[in-house]
Amino acid sequence: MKEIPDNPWNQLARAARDAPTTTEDAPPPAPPRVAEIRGRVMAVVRAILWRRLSLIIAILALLTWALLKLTEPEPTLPPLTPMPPDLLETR
Amino acid sequence: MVSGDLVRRVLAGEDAAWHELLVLLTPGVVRQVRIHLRRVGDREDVVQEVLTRVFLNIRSVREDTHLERWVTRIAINTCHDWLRKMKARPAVNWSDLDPAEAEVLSQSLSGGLDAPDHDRTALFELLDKLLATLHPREQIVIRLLDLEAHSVQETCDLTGWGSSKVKVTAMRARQKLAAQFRRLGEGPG
Repeated sequence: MKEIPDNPWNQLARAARDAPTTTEDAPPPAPPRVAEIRGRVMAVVRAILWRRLSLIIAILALLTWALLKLTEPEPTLPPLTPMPPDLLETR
Repeated sequence: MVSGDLVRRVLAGEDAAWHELLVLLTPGVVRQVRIHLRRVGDREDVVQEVLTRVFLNIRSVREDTHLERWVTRIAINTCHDWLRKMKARPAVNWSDLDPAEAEVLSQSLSGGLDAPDHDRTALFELLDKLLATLHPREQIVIRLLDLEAHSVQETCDLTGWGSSKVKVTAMRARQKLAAQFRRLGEGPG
């Protein structure tokens, strides 16, 4: 087993702190078009609301279907009534 | 710096003020999300989620609230929630690392990482893989304390968590990382 010097984590963390900044780490510029951002935020809000709304509609549809299914009359056999005598005679 | 007047105008429902506020807040939100989520693909979604939370909760802000700090907390908590959805990596093995990352790890294990000629991308990829083995809260705390060099008090202010919680979380995270380094120090076999 190799000998490990004290705390390699501290070395990694120090190296990360000392690493030169790149364009990726630089503070991002302010958004050029705030209206676009507002529109996107509103789109996200609408998406969230729509997801909830569609869930409610789906549940209501399911409940309606279940209710109709439960209250649907059972299919029954037609009543076995005797044939009228005159009809029997014609045969 | 967000002025109290701007907050009052936002709370009064002025559209232009909201636009102005977004311009001021977005860079800070993006920065926080970049610190805690290294996966580029996740960042935009999380920034949108943070701005949505700000938008939905702005009415609960009192006039004396430090708005930037409030937004930073929302950003960190949103990142925390996001990390909780991710499946934690059980451990890092040598086989998970590409040659450049393995080289950085070898340098750190042998105490030779102080030389500034290491591969920067590999360093951050390795850090991400190691930190992904921690619990979400540990990831947040260790990034703020060790990688961003914030003090415990600053970390408490940023996260809204108590100092004992931050200290205990950091201690556990460092113990887990130390255990990983011990295991990795045994070599690729």
